[in-house]
Amino acid sequence: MSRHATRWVAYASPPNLYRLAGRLVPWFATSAGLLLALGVFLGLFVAPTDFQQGDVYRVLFLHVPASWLGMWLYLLLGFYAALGWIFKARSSSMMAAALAVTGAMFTGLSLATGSLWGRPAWGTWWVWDARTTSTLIPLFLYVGFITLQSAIDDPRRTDRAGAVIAVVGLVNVPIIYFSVQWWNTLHQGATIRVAGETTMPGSMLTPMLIMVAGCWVYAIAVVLVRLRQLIHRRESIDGGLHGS
Amino acid sequence: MGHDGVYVWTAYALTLAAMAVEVAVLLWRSRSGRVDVVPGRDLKRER
Repeated sequence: MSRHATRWVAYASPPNLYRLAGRLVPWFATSAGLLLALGVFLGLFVAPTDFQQGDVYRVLFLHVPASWLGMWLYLLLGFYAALGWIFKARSSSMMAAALAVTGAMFTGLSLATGSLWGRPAWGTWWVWDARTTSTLIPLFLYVGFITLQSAIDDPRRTDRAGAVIAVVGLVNVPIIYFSVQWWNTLHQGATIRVAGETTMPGSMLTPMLIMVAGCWVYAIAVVLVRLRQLIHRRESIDGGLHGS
Repeated sequence: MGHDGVYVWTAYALTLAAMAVEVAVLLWRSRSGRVDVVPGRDLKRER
């Protein structure tokens, strides 16, 4: 194994990961504060009023990042839970556990801000269409995963049981993403595309992308802090920190 | 912001409050001594 690869594998060790996370948290936390403050200011006071929706579209500067984060954090949760399950990697399982609360929060915010936008735009708080329903499912999966974490005392059994929920739930991620293409839904299609033309003017796209970046670095900061808490608690209980 | 302003302000207040609560809980758990999460602190040195 090359020296470069060996250095990265070394971070799989909980004490090394604890130290690395501690170094990164201040940078991500500071960036999150600056980006979120700038994004909220641009979204509320600088972005122009939409000629069709008026000012209510400003909710989308929160709804879109929250929806993306809820979906991507679930994808990461499933990935790390599967790694922990297959390779019995403690750090991966702890990373999955650290992601769950923040993922649940963003999924809940996606649904709440979607309702707050839907009431004036669609005339209803909620519709059981493919996108909203497929976004509600991971919220239940997140809650189930978090409940398991506190329900079972043995961390190894907790990790295995949580991994089953997390991996099964991965099936739902492409359903969320493609739901607006596969079914006729009230929810609009993708406005921001990685491949293809983005149908949003720059004056609206800039605050949107700043809020997306702000939410990502916020999520990374809080997940790293929670990861450190989990490493400290679990490794102290297992004796791993004192035995090596 | 017109009569739709209430939806916009509620959404922003809700989002920022949720983030503030999450951060407050993490800080409370570290400050109350339940776990130590001081950034940069080295576990190996604590052993």
